[in-house]
Amino acid sequence: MADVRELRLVLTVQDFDGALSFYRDALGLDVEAVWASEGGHVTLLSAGRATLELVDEAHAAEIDRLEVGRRVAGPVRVAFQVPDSGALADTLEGAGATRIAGPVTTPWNDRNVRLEAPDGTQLTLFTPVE
Amino acid sequence: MTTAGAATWDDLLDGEELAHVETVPATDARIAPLPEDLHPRLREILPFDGLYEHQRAAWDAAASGEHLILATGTASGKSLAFNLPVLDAIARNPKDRALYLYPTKALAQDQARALGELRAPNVRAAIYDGDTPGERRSQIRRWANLILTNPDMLHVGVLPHHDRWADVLHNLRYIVVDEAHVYRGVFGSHVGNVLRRLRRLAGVYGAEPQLLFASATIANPGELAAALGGVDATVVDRDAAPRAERTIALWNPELLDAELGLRASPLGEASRLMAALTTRGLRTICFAKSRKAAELIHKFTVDRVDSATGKRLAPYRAGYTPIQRREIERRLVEGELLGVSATDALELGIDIGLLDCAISVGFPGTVASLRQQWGRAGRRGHGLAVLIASEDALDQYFMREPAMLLERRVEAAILDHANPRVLDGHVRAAAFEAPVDDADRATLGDEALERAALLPDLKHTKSGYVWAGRDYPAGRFGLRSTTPDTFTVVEAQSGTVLGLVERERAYSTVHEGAIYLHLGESYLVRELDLQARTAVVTPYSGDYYTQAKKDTNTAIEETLRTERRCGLDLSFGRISVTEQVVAYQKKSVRDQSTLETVDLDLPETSFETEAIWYLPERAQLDGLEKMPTLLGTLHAAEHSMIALLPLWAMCDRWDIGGLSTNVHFQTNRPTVFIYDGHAGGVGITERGFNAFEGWVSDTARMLEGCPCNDGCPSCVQSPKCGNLNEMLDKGGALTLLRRLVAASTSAT
Ligand SMILES: [Zn+2]
Repeated sequence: MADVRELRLVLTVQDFDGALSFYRDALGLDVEAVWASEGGHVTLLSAGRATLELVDEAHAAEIDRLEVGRRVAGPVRVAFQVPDSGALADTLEGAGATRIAGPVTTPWNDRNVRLEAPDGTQLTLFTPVE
Repeated sequence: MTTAGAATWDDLLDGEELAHVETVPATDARIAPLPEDLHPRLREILPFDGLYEHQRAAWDAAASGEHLILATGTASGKSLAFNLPVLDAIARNPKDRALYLYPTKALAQDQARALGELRAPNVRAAIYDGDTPGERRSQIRRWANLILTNPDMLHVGVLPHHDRWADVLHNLRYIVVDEAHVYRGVFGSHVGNVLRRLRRLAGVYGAEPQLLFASATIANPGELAAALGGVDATVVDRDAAPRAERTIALWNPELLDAELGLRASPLGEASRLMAALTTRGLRTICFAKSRKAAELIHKFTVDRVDSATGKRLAPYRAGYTPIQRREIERRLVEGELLGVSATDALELGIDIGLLDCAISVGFPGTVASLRQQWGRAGRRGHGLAVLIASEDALDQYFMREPAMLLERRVEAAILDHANPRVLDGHVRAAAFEAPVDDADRATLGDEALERAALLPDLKHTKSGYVWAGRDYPAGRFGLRSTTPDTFTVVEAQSGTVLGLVERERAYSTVHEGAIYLHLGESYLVRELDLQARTAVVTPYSGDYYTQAKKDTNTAIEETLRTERRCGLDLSFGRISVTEQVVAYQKKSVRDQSTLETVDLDLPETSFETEAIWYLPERAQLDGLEKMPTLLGTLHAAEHSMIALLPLWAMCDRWDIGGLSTNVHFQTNRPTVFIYDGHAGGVGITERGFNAFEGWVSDTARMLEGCPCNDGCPSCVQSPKCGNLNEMLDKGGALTLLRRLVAASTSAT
């Protein structure tokens, strides 16, 4: 067992209120905590179980090819497992995300949609197909 | 068509069905200046440069160190009123701590979001509940200065481990109890003890926190604060928020058969109104009591409108994911959706601001709930609020006597922390947490000390009563029932636990074959396992409901009060109730006809509770003394009085039981018992004792006004009668109750 207890992804965003309404309200993540520093603000959202997926360049290119058809992602991409990736992608588009591609079904049988969040983060929504 | 402020519904409010209509004028806000001493950074985050007078009154009370209960309407800025003193304290001293209690996770979540948006200085707010991961918990205890949790978590997760919470308790400045009116009955009686344990432990760590309660408008805010927290609280209940003009309509579906009390379907009426309103572009929400009803209203409404309008209607119910809910809320707020039919379980958690019209289908049980639902109407300065009556006796009474609904003070939230069935567990838990001695009377109450002396698993030592058991007593019981002897209701397919049912209610509500209603969803009970204490249920979509038939006996255990009232002997005291469920009937939802009677073989149960009982005098029964008239008279009087008791005590008629007998073995006389259905009792029947004259006279008026001759579901029949509504004499009950009324007016 490792000593690491939690993987927390920290996004520094230009438009804090916009990001809050996107991740909290549109994506529907629950608030766990909120706090402030001198003039600054933080909201911690719970997003299910966190994992760290390491991929090499070739696999990243393969995922991009499957989901989008061309190489688009930077070194970090945020993936959320959700009950219905297609429906949620529509909601998020309505909330300001840009759809890059999808939904597509991957060879490992997930339904994936690639989006770019308003803060510029690249998102994959995926739903395991039963 | 939609000129701002114009009442475009006037022509709809017409016809036989309209029992009452009135327009309540708009009121302007009453504004008080911001307090001079408010932290300057908080001044910046306020919506405007002032406070409503009740918010200012709350600030002043908190600033002078008082406990406080706010009881003002929906959307009157209660949150800001209790947040300001807390946020001000934290802005000045980040080491100060506050605990916020919410009855549900969803409400805690809403407040966390709102606090996040306030951006108050130094605030470190966190949710601490059953879902909080273990490693985050110690961090929250060390770091958060505003902790949002629920009473259940406080009971098992915080108080028994108070050493870990030493820093929080030592610095505890405020305890905020929001939605306080929800803490009534059994749950409230438990929470009253949890708050007393919390105050005591804070004292152990040197703190004396102030309690800030917020409640819907109720008749007894000061009493509720005293019962829940054991404190004298300043009552702030003069609502100074602006209110839109509101037209209120009471709508009674057409009477189809006066003898059967059969009326046109309220669901049909709701969809008719909803269709007319949404077709005119008026944004409307309709609250129904079950998911099935909400869905039927939605379907019937879609059938009545053109397809373009139909696409702008949606049902809204529990079971939707937060995303789906927020999507519907957003579409409603933005006007994409015109009409939503919701189950009233959602009235607290729906975030939609103001709409044009709100329709309640069936009285939701309390005036506070009804006002919460109606509070949604008022967009563009004028709202329409409608109550569509069901055939239930209370609904029909309101249709005939609108002033009883619209002008009376709302009912009281009642609880009894000293109910021994509730108290004993908390006394054990308190003794586990720290020795209980005489000094704790101030927080735990005298009754706790009396019980402590009687509990065998407590040991009396030099420092007080201490816990002598091996386990940890708070873990033995939950806050939602009066006994650990409960049955778990499990949904077969998903294995989800839907709820807990006390043994004394399990046999009548979750017996094999019963239709069980939970949060507006219907389930069929497949199996009741008496050994494993589980009821296995599956979703049910058929069109019958079930009613249990049971044999009931009552025995008087202790008479606490007897008074000469209404010309007879009225008593209040403790009784034991013995019940055996012997059969159940399947009844048609459509016309209440009996489809089948099924025998059951279940053990007897018995429990002690509180009751009132009265013994009609011979003269009061003159002409009614022959059987079966006598029994029918008493039985009908009992049912109709039970139907109206919720006017005084916030409770459900399902919480109340009754028994009438032509000769009781202890009184040797004809006797009517009305008892609290929860073991131990929570004060509901004592309320009835105190209000007996008014209770009797309102019941007589209700019987007088009902258009039937021989009794119907809108007067003497009860949906939960253990005798399946046999032997009911409406005329006899009316004669008897009129004689009681006459005696009460001539006596003084
Ligand atoms: Zn009737």
